[in-house]
Amino acid sequence: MGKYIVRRLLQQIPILIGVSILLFSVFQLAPGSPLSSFYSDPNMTVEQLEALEKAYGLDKSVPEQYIDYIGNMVKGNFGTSYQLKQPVSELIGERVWATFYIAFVSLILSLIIAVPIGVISATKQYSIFDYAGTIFALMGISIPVFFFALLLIKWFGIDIRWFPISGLVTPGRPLSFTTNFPDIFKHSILPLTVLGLTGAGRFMRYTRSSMLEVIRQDYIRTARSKGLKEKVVIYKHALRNALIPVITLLGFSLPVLFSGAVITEIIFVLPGLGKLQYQAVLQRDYPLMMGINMFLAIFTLLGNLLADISYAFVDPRIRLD
Amino acid sequence: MISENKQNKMAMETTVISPAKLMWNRLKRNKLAMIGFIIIIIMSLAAIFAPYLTPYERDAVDLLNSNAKPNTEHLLGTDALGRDMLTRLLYGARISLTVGFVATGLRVVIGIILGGIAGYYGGKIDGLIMRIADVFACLPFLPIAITFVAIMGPSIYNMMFVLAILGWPGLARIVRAEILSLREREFMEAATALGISDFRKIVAHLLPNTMASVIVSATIGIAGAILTESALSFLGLGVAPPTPSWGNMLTDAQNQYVLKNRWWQWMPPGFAIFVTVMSLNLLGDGLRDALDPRLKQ
Repeated sequence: MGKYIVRRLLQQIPILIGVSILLFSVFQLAPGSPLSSFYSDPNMTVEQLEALEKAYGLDKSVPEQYIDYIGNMVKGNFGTSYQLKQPVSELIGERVWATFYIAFVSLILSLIIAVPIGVISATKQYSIFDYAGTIFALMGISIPVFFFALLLIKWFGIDIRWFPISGLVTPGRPLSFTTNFPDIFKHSILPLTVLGLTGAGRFMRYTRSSMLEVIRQDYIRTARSKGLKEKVVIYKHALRNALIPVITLLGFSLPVLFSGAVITEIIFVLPGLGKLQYQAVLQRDYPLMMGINMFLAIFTLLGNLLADISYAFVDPRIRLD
Repeated sequence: MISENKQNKMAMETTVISPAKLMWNRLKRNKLAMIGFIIIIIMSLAAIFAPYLTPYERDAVDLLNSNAKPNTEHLLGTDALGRDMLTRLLYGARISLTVGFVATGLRVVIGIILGGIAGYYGGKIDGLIMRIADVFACLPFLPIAITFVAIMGPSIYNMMFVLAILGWPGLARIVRAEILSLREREFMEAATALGISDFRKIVAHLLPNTMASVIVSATIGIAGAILTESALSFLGLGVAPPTPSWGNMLTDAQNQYVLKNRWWQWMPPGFAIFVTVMSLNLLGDGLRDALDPRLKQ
């Protein structure tokens, strides 16, 4: 197992290099130079500009700049934000927790909703419950996240004023999970509902089709013919195997949720990575955009890796080599 | 003798059903999928014939009539500039559906070419193409799409390009996997024995056999493309106004007053996206079941 993990980890390195080259090239396409504002300044002398270029490494060739960037990145230095004048890694570190909280809790919420409905849908295939569940799941994957968010804001935030509609805390209160949790929780109800319900659709379809496949297998018939109770057959024997692909989907989902939360964060003004990215885009803050994308790509790779490993871990039938 | 041959041929024609026909027959029996299919056709027709369905110009400003509630003259009311909402909804369908279909078409072309080459030739070319696919597949989709569009500028063409370039690996993998197994079948041995060129083998014999799964994946892909386009346009990073797209029509709803008091300015385009995407997903599911009846017994 250890060997397998190490090998899979090593396989990610060329992919990561590919991703970084791709991202770096995209940013080379960006119009203008990072020093554009200085170039148009009449008080700057040519010498001063050259000194600045040298200080930022812009006098080097593009491949050299890339090597520099990667060298710094390995040391945990993602550069400095143009607009916020703060190290990118520090900014990501500050914002990542809000995103992680929203993504993780909504993922759990999705599972709590999706797995039972998926299982019942499969065991009672073609019943009214199954149709209702299937349509509910389909709606979840079809509704635009931003539209769903707007509807909830209108109905529950503005019309009947049950829940706050922006921010993660009441202004003036601390963004701390230990001292201010009830306030944070109240603020997260609407965003969590949006991400939880839209995410549940995908998991439900997955659980249902996986369960449908498993309950047709011979060992389930054997279990039934032994005279086991239907409950034991379904929840003990079938569910265990049916959940294997769902676990894999889980590993793939966290990174997707991380980057997919962008829209929800923007609409609900949550202080997460997505909001930071949007700000960076609006202000053309390229080092910050690059840093966030790189961070998310690494996170995605780790998620995929986790999915593979957990898959191998829960399913002994998987051959590791 | 000749007539006997003809009779045989006729008998063959009445009993042999092509795979496409078989798929269609199965699909026809799936009510939900057919509902989805019909809705998509209606939406497409509405988009194509938009100018004939409304007396108003797309961008005709009528400040005396701004923010009008739905009434007999303006069935879905007007926006802040007095533009007819129903008109913009119909023209918005043009943009949103075009982006969805063209982006997916582009994605399918890239996916088929690269997946086909990788699957047929195997070896080093396969390794290289699939590693590139891995790289593209691990890019965080929405942030990268936002970054691309932010750098290249908001336009309908950049939008299609981004959706295609980020979406091709999934399709390439599907085509590759199918071709890998088809390549070993007897009819390919026959093709080789006949001395048919590689190009012809791929285009005339292998790719047609992968079409069914490509169509399923593309149908669901169009739904995804429409969702992404609408989200980016909503954020002001996709299709730029005054060109209406269903996504950018919802941008005004970021204003709380509009959200609370003028439902007709944002709910119709929102539901239009919802219904279209749902119909495409229904059709995609139906096609998949029709293709693989094993899953639905």
